[in-house]
Amino acid sequence: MAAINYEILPEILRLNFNSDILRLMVLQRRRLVVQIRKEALPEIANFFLDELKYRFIIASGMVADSGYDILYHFSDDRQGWLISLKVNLDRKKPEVESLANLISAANWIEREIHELFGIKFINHPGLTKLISEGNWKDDEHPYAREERDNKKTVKK
Amino acid sequence: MSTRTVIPIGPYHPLQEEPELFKLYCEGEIVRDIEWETGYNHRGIEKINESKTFDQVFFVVERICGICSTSHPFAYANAMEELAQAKVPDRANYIRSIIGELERIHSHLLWVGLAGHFLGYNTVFMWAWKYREMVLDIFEKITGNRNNYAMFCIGGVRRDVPNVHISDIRKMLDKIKPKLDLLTGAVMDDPVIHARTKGVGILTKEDIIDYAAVGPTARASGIAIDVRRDDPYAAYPLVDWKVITSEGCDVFAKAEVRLLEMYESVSIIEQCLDKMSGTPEGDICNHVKNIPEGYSFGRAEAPRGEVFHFIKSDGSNSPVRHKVRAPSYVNIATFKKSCVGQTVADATIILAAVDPCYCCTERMAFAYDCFSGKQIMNGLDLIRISQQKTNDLKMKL
Repeated sequence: MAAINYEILPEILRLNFNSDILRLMVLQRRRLVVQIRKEALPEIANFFLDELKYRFIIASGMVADSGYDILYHFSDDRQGWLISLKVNLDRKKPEVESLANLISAANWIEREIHELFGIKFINHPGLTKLISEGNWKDDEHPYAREERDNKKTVKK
Repeated sequence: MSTRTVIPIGPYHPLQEEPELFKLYCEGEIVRDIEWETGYNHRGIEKINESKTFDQVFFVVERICGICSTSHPFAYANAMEELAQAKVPDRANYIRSIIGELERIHSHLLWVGLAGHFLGYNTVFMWAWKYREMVLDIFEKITGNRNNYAMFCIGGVRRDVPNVHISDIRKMLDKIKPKLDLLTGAVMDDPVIHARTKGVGILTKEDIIDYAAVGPTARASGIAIDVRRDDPYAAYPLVDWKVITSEGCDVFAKAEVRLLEMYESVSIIEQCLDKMSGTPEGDICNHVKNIPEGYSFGRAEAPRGEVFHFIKSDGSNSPVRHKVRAPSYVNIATFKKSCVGQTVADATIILAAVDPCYCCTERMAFAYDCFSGKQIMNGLDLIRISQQKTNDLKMKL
């Protein structure tokens, strides 16, 4: 496959998924974060994997101002770009479609995010605990907490 | 339906970043399914880092893995320097690459030794670990530690490698090269090793892409990915080297890739030493005062594959979120493809082939009969049947 022109990639994304792209941020050197509507995640992830031939790296869940953020990290190994898809989930009912049926590599990390943050992945083939079996109750999620006080300084 | 026996491998393994328990579901000799359990030693390092300052995080991430202890600080430093837009001095970049490559050599030697042990070649095990000792000695000389070198900081390295030590490193490299030839010859030319590892534990290109496997596991299936080349960092773009791949897809290909990679590492170190001697001594760190707000991503090629670090900073002196992805996290998941359909005798070498460090695991492994609950086999038996298979092959030749 031909190399991707990153100058026009934002245009391509906007053309294909017009209203699903909420924000595009080019960070540092060869790093791109694309904030999308969570309903469009499987479609855009599929476009990344099938059309653009990106490699799935991992997903990072985190607590954000308005609920939870998940960043799905993809790598373009031909050009050294790192592209992350960002979805924002509601705090009261954090749910998003699973990518595990699309790519097996997403299976474990979705189980991990599920148990650490309590985020539900719809249509996941087996959303059981991955790392903390027997350590926490089913409704306790160790990483889910209120947003940290702004600019809290850790004592040295 | 035939009787299925469960053979658990694991769970405790003090050397490993991810202690785990594999349950092999076997029908007779054939593995039919595999299940994975973990969390036995979950340390919550990502959570711990939220209460550490950016400088302290180095010492925590260094302890994620005992064998490739530089790979995590490497990825973390790459992430932080991108965020702070810090320029690392040339000499620090060369030192970083030298440490990274020395570590690759000793990690691969450790793997070769273990693989030899699993196959019943204890001579290979003793040789490989003996030669690994030379690398650890050089680490002790230049960093003060045989492992957990504590060399990295944001903006450079913490200690210089003075020019007087360059000749020591060169001497060690000259000594280790013939030993690598010896090991490579022992593995490549042995008909029994060929019989035990060729066509065993096949991972096709599609499997690798589906499970997003990285490092030598992916390169042994013909997928040429290497962060050192694809997303260059430290001194790697400044020296001449190549990415080793093999089309074999089996255990033998993984061994071949690792053995040949050690030669590339030796060559990278030699070039770095040449270039490093021309840079001013002591110019090793540009200190960073403030870490701005934002996201940052860092990658490094560990001996086992790509290490990925994600950091969210809010402008204070500690990370708000720190996500770590070790290469074994994606590589271990491939067992579902590589083990199923193989024999129990081959399972140990297939599991070992992705290098999840299995040297102590066997002590904890027991096989129980599903129905009676009676113990019928333990980890040492597993090693024994693997070694027995090699012996049988030797007798036939």
